[in-house]
Amino acid sequence: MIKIRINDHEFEVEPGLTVIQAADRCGIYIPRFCYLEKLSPLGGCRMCLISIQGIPKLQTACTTPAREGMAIITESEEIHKARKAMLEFQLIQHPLDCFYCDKAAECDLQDLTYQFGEIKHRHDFPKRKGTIIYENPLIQRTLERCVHCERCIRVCKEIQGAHALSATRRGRLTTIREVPGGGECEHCGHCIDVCPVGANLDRLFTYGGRPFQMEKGKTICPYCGCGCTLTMNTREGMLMRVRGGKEEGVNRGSLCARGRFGWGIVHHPGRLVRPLIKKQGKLLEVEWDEALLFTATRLQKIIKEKGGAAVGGLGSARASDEANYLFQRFMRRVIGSNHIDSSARLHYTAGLIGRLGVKAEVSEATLEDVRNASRILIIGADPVETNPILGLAIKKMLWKGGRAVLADPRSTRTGRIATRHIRIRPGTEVPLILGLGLEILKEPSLSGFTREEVMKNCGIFAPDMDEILSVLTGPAAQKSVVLMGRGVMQAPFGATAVSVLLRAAARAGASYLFTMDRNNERGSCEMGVLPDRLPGLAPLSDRGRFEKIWGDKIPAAPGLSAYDMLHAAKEGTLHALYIMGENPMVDFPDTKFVEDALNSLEFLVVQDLFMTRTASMADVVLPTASFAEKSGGFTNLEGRVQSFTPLIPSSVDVMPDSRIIVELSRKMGKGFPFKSLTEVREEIHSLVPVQGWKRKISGEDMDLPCPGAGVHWGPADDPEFPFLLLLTSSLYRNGSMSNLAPGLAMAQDKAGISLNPLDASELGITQGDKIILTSRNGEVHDEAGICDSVSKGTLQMPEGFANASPKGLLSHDLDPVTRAPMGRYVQVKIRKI
Amino acid sequence: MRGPNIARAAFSEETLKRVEAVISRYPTPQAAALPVLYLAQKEFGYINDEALSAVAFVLRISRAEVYGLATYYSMFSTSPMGRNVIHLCDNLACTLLGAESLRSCLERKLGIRMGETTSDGRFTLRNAECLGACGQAPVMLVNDDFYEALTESTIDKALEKYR
Repeated sequence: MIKIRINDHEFEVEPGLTVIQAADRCGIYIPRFCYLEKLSPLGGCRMCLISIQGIPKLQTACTTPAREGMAIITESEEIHKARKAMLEFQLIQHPLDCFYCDKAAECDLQDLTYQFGEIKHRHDFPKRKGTIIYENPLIQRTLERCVHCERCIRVCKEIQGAHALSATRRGRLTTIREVPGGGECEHCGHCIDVCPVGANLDRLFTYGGRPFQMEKGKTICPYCGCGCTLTMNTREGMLMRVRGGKEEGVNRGSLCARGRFGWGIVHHPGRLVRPLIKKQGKLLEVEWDEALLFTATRLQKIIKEKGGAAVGGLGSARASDEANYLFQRFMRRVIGSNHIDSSARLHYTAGLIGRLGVKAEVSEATLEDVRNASRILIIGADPVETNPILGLAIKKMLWKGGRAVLADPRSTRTGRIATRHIRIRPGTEVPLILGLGLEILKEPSLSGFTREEVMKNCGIFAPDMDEILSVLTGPAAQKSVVLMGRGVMQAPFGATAVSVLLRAAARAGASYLFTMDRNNERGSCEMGVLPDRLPGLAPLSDRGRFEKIWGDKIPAAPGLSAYDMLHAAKEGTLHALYIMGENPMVDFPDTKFVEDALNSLEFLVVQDLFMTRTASMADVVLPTASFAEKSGGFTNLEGRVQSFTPLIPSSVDVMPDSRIIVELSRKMGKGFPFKSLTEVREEIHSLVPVQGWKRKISGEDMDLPCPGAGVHWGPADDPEFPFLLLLTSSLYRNGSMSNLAPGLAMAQDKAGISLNPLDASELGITQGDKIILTSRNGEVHDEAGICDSVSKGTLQMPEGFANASPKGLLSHDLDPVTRAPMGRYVQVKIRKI
Repeated sequence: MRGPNIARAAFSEETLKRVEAVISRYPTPQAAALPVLYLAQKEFGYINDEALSAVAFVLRISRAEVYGLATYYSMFSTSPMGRNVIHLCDNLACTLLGAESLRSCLERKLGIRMGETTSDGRFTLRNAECLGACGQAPVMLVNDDFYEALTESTIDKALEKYR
């Protein structure tokens, strides 16, 4: 600690701070425009001028290091005069349009000018005019209001790593612009949050109201698994805008496009507001009582005639922990079926099985660990697109000098920022991991995966292999993180690969993390929305403990997984399906098969916000409340349990997922004993305790099959379908729900199929041509985009876009262990329209 | 995948060789930004999107940084230019010795205003900050050639050799 004097008071501060940081910590405010704690200092605005004893001229507090014995004065006549002169300069340019500026009443320039009193102008230049720029669909840049603090440029470069903004021209003509022709902007909107004036504004909020008209509240983002804290502004029961807040939540005040601009789903005109029942082939609006009674009667009839095992249920990787807990308890207790699963099967369950298969202690990384890591190994994942805040943590780590090694066949945004992107052959994530396992663990069962064999399979060279290995070897490995994504989860032997890599990480002392596509994949699994696991991931053999509390028998045999249920439906052994907030018709691979299976059902219930493709096939549709209208808890990809409360009242006739389940159970004669959601939460806590901030997962003895050496990895040659389509993710989409957010559609409205320029010229395809891709399962058409970094012979297409989804092209071969549909790629042929 | 397509430098092979030679003279590639921008302007005519990407790629810096540089210095242009570029100095010495009337003379002769390009693409007229030849003011620069102690009558002759 060092001693400094500020305004004749002694203070002790930690060494290594600048004067403005030291003053902030001592509770002394120094005015500023350009300084922001999280950014590198600039010293540009000169508002933080202070005087230091022994130095004749005023100094900028943001760039001067605080030293032992320094005597600082932050307010004096001289300082006041200097700062006022700076404001006078700013006001030469700045228009006095506060009356219609969205920033008014939360504007630093306005506040400071008010504080300094009347400013007499000694300069008479014409003010700059007409420089409002609408190039960005979501961010309005009014450049005449700019005070050239460069916070937006620095935040874009240092935190977001997007490098979209630059200061162009010079002197009083300096203008902050986006780089033309780029597409660098990731629409995170961080420049809006940090702008001290109204130069960068949220276009979705334009004329939305003054800050004092807003009610502020916090919630957890409903899109991906990062679990970011959103600071919401609401006005008269409407969401108005989302802000990052001050260094809050796991996201530390950063947000991605989905978090900031994806809230529009809540007020979408297509929201379901009344329950619907299918009568003579048409879904008609009815009262809740009728809908619930109808559902109860139909379900009871099927259970009576065919048994509880004739009914299956899809819980939701989007719904809260409480709703999922109630859902599985409803399925097991009221219906008497273990056929419970969710879309987490596609993204996460393989990782979970792999993790459960590791008995040894493996430390799980947090986002903070990633920020502080020295090296990270990413396999089969694109965190920058799927989990943007995790992507930011990686960017932070790189900014601090860390190394990120990526093994992934696709050209991705993560590949662009990684220190090294090793383009393995598609579908060879698993042999790569098993090869790493052999090198580190030396287990005889992996002996088929020698270095040579792996390099041949993956199409990589010895230095690549060394680079990957280097993350997990040496003493620095303790600060390494291993990150796996869907490339591994949806591969054959995915669970085996996960467990091998986790054991290797444990041996090296490294920690691990999985990317997660949905906000509550982890929570839904931990709440027991799995066919063979009870809450807390307890095996079915442990069911006595739950039966005692629930007061009912739980079926002993494990149930069917999502795709097995669909198969059973098609074969006629599963008669009814209850879907709580999932949209398999859009989000599950092999659309044709899913459609046939759902059509074969005798009775389909769907609980959703919207009339999704799945909902339109249902016999009963029950409208639910959105994330902003209900309470609950989500568990993020770190395992952090975070609860949220309603921000706005829900529209009259919708109910939260949890209440629908409770009401339906009552109608079926087996009501829950809960009076409130708090009681549900208490029961969850008693069964599955939260330790600190997370629920612990402990491994068990599990035999995961190990592939032999002779397996063919990746797609087999197929002359009829010569191209390989690799599925990617988009920053602007996350499941079918995100398509209905107007803000996200503005950022990107077309999926687009990327192909290599050589392939394109061979086929006579140019940028923007319409092309049709045909696979053995289906076809899809969209615009072609030429991209140098896509490998020859492959195509790339993001999933999640409702208007052109590659899901219909995929088949759904299931991995025998994880029961997840395998393959993040499909063989196709191309035709130009 | 969306985003800038900067996987390769779109320079011609000959320019690329010169670019590499320039970069090799500096401790870091970034330090060669200005000379590389000159080469890019020569190759592409002005600093367009393609030039931005090419320069960013060879210097291993972001396109935003290149764009900031290219707009900061008046010798670079981010909009198309004529075949010949006239830079007329308007700083103190030149102005005192009649640069203002030279400017209106040039504007009248070429039929364009400062900053514009003639319709046949022959000339672009641009303002320049001090060209470092105040002793011979007023001066102008046409492409790489200096013209000193200009008068309305010598300007005509000077421009004739540029097609």
